[in-house]
Amino acid sequence: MSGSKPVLSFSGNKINVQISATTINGKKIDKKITGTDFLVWNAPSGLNRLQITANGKGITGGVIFFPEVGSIGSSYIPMNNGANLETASEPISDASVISRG
Amino acid sequence: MKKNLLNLGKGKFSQQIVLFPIVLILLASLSYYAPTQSEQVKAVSTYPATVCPAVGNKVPSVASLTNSKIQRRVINGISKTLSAGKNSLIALNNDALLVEGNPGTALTFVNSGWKSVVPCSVSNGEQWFAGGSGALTSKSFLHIVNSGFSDSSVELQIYTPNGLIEPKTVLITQNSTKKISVDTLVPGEDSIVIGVKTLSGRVSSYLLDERKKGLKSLGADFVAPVATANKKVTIAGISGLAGKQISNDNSVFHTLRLLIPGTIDANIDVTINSNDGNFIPEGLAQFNIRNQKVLDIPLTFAPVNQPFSLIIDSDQPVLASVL
Repeated sequence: MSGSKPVLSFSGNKINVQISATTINGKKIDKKITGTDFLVWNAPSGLNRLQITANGKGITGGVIFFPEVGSIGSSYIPMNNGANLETASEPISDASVISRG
Repeated sequence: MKKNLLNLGKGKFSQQIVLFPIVLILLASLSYYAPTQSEQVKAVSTYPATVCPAVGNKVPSVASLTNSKIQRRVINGISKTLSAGKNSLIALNNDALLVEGNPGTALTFVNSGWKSVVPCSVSNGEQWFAGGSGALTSKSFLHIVNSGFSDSSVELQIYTPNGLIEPKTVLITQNSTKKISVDTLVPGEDSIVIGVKTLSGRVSSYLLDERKKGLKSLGADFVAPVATANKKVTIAGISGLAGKQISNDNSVFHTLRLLIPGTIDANIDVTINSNDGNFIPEGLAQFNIRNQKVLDIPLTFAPVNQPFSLIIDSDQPVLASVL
């Protein structure tokens, strides 16, 4: 995320979010933000990794990426996982399954 | 002597008669009480592999993974094995990147006189894009990435202000990306919503909405995909206008794009949240929207110089985005 100034915004009736970030220098940042309806957190520049955990239901978040320098516009992404955990059922095949099947 | 032998033989015979059922009972008991599998299926949870798109067309992109040890491979029709790298930042030229499933979300960053970020993702069978344009200034491209090793097909459903146009089926060859210019799908149409439905294969799609005036790029951004329409939609972060974008004549404004994909008209409430408080703009309470027609609402009343969020409450599932 270096080269970007991320602005984190949250929406929800009761917002309670834990933010953990790591900078490119390895410094760790932990921040808990709480509030109602709408909250904005201006993340520092030079982040390497960002982890956001919602401590409750009904909280929606998004990240607006502003450029660190210049004014070339901004970009928005919703805070959704790129991939959700998928669960599948796998049969356990052993002799008893076969004999009692 | 003979009699004794006969008696002995009789004794052996009777012993065998007694032993045989005992052994049988023992064996039956053993098989009955032997430890058995209490469950015949087990639940297995995994994260699916995701795809980071590359813009191509000499526009550099960088995929940013959460860990350098995550395995990856380029989707170029040749590469078939995943391998870990030394760096968590991977420069992409023309080919998208397949990233091994992991709990983190990788991002693709594009800087080319404009800034654009998109999460690396995988389709759950359906992706909707409320954005893009087929109008004259549009250079929007729909990227459809087939990361599997067999050909895949998708159905493109495109909605306009006049309704749904005839769906198109697109075939994507294995391990490759197909880039479709949006103005070839809906020439001249400014307000569109595109649905990409996977018919077969493992497909991820992305919509890069770029606007140009002549050869000059006016800016671009990826349109965030939505898996399904919902009755409540929250767009949590809208940058708000700033600097030169703010004018007294409201010539520049954000636009809310809406589509009810179902067959029943909807009534919606639009709420705007910002640090200044919450409000429902005039005319956007119990606002009626016709089904299957794309509608653009100019947000001339939106807060400026600060981010804000927008909440849509609808009585029918709705797709929405802010441009």
